[in-house]
Amino acid sequence: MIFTREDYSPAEYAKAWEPGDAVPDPTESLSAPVHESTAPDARPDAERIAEAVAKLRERVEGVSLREHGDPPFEGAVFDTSSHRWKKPGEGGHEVIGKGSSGEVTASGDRVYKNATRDEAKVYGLLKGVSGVADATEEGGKISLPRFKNIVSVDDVPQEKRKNLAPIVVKALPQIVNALTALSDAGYDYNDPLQVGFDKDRNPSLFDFSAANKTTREEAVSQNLDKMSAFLKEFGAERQAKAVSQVAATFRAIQDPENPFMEGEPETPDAKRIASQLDGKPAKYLYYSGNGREIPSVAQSESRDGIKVIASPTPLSDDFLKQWEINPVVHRNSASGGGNP
Amino acid sequence: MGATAKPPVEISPAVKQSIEAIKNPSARKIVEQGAAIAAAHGDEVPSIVVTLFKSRNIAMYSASNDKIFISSKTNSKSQAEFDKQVALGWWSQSNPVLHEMGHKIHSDAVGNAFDNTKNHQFSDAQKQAIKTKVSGYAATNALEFVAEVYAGDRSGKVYDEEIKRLLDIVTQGRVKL
Repeated sequence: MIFTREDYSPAEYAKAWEPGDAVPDPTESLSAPVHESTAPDARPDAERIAEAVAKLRERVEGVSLREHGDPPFEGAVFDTSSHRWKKPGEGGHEVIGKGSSGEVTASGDRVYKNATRDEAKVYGLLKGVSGVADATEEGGKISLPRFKNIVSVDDVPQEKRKNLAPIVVKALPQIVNALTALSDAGYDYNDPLQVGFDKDRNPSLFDFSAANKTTREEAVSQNLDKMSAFLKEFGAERQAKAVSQVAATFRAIQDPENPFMEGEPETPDAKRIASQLDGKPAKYLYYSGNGREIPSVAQSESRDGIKVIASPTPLSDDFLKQWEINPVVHRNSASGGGNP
Repeated sequence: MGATAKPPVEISPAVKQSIEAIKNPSARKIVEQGAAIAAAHGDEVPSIVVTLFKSRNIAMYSASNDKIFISSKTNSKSQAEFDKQVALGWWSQSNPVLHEMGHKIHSDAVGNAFDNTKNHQFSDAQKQAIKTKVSGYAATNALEFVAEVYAGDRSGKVYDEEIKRLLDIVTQGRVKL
């Protein structure tokens, strides 16, 4: 038995000796932000502008000026993406924040940041997938759409998060599609989810800077935890609980005889579903509040008003609608490209 | 392992198979490293499997199954977290599988007395010495003391007579460094 100092307590230690005591809480995976907050800056405009100008000046004078000679006119800004001088505010890069990978700049309707770890690769694998930000790699930088709004724990103050439940619930099909594509590619998002919204309120999952390559099963498990934590954080409690239940059942399906899960409610669910799947993988996951037996799909008994459904192939949109089934791991029929 | 050092042993094919079946790449790397160190010191490595813990436990040894379990939540950030535990003085070394090997060695050596070890009470002075010389986690109870001393020893740490004497008391002299 071994615990980190942060997680150790005599009670937690005792619990670990007694299988059957506690159900894993997927929301525990909601870690603290790993990069500097980009929450709205409360400082006076003049102060913020002065800092942005100073940063730009530092960059231009420190790097670009030496490489590209004197500016052709007063106040000119060197645009590193187009490699030419521009007037301020006319296509020049504006520093809009600072993350773990360095400065984040914006030019027009695009945002630029340094690519970290597998980020560029992940964007490439998910290219064209509905619900994933349309990103390109340009000169070692990731170019992303400049979102009108961002829903993330970094960007939304704690006291305002619960108010966003209707927006988050509406975006859920796109988030499910994006996370499923990510899991299919064998990547765990590995960070609290960040969802950007364009001017038409279309949602896009973005920032794969922490994404971690793993197996599909593990990616599904971890990504469902992130989804549940995100939903809970932004007020969609009912959906968060359902996703959490699906995630726990999915994990139990992987190993229905796991001695540490003995006595857990997920175990009979998992055994029932595994038996109905008859050796086929639980690749796509859903839940439903519909108490009736749904034909031709593997499903648990209804527990706390939620029935977990698993299928080796995606269920059709018509079937989902007919039986009031909510997708959790599922690709939309019109979800576009990406890695199968 | 001092005067009682054992020759290296091969990891058995069945155990190798259990390790090769681990799909989580981060967990597998940690398992392979821990198992290799233990085998190099002549310790028989049991089967190791990834599992889901309901607590925040990272790994455990089950004497009844003779298996080491490692958490399915192990990921690419875990090793850095484990290194931090050593830097904080909370762990004696950074591989949780090696720590669990300590429980196995202890359990194999003392048999049914293993479970009772948890009830052994250290004095405040002994706890302080353990915290300083072994690790913070070792001072939480006598079972963890044995595992932490074993893991630290296998990682190249050298413990003084006070720690060895405590190890003798706790294990009735059956686990030697």
